[in-house]
Amino acid sequence: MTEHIDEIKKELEEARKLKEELRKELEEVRRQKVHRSRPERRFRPEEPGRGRKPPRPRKPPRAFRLPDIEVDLEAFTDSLDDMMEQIGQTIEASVKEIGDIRIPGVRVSDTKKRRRSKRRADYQKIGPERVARIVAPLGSEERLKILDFLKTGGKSFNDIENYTGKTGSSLTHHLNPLIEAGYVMKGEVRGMYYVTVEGRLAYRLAQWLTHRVENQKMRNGRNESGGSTDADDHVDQEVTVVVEDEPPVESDSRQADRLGEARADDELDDMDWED
Amino acid sequence: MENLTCEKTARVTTREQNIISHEKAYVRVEPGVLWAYIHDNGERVGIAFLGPARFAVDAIAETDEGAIGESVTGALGGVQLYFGESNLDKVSRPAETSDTNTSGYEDIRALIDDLNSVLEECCRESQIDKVHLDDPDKEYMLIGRDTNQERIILALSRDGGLILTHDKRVYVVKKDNIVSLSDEGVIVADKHGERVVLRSDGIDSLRILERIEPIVTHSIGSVMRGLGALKSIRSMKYGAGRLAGAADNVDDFDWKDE
Repeated sequence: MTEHIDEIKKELEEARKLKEELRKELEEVRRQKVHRSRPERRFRPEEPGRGRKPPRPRKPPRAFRLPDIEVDLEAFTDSLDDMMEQIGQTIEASVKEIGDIRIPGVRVSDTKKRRRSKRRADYQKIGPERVARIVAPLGSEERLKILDFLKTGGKSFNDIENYTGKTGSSLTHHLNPLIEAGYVMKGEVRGMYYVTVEGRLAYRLAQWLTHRVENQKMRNGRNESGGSTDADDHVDQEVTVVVEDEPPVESDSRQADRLGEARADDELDDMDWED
Repeated sequence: MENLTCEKTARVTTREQNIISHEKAYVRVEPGVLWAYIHDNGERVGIAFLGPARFAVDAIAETDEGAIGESVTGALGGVQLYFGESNLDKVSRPAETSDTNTSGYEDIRALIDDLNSVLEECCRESQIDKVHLDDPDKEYMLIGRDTNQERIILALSRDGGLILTHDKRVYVVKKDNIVSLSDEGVIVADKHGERVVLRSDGIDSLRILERIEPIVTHSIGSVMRGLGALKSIRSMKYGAGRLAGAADNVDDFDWKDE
């Protein structure tokens, strides 16, 4: 950090020098301007009564003419740009090294971005086997139905049989993977089945996945899912907004809000997945 | 302690029977269990028993976010002390020397002496000098050991609450809130699914720490309400009475399903 501060100081010192040079050059320009304008000031009409000849008509004032000075401003501004860029890079590098810095009134933070990219990097490393362990137990309509049913509270085997239409070993075939995955737990006292916190989370994520994939298919113009879905409704709403000829300001702001929401919803990391 | 003693008459079960039958737990004795009533100043307050028995406890709280806890099952081993109403008499007959012999006791007197010594030791360790259950028909307490000689203390209240300590695990469960100590750390969860998890490497979900005290007090106190047998935490029970519904204020958790 100290090194970067020294570098910044050095750069600022150079900037000061350049500024000083510029100031001198400008003073030189002013001096030359004053020197050239003196003869014109001496040329005055003679006082009435003193002159022998009638006064000649006054010449129109000469247009102000910039002196021809050779100043390479282009080079100067270029170097200033370079220097500012370097200062910017130095500051950026310093901030990156520190992480968060707190200046009264100013908050410089990059942790959210880092955390998000780290999380993304983490979950992108998850291999198919691990994914399968989590997703496979959800892989049938009956199991998802069970999770959805248990959301309302603990249920007996009989209750689940009645709800799903599966009986005996057929139902056990679906319940066991859910129990093994930790999505459902069985109370031994009365044989009640409960959906766990993990089970609720898995089911919600499955719903989210469905929503996202269906939405994407709609955007790509391929609706392979049967019937009207949430995604359909969502897209219909968007189309309606575009088609309607509402007052521009209100329409735009509303549309921007809606698009903002849609974008936020699209980003998995932006969702509130606190546990 | 000197008030608590076992009757000198022993009995033996002839059929399987649930000695505890509660919505969150059962203790089931099998045929051949030797037992005797425990008296407190001449009043029957429970039984001491020895023999094959099993238990199951659903230390599970159903929160809005999903179920938390676990179902604990196992077999009981050695002498167990049970406080509360008992219907074992209906499935038992007076014990004979041959019954006690199969359990390793010379006669009934030796069995009763052993039951008394366990009762005395337990009361001394747990500092119990009196047992009082407001509603012995619906409130139970079991103090004993499993077949691995791990200590089990199970207390059940009439309104569905329970306290279970088993080995190194502790659960205090009401219908929809739980305080537990297990390998996962200490978990405190309320009915909305808000949880604080204290692990050796840190604390999760600091968001509700500010409300932790009423949640813990309410969870434990509501379970303990009516269980007069555990005098040492009576103050907490009354404290919870004053704070009843305090945990209900935790209602800002964002976890909508629809």
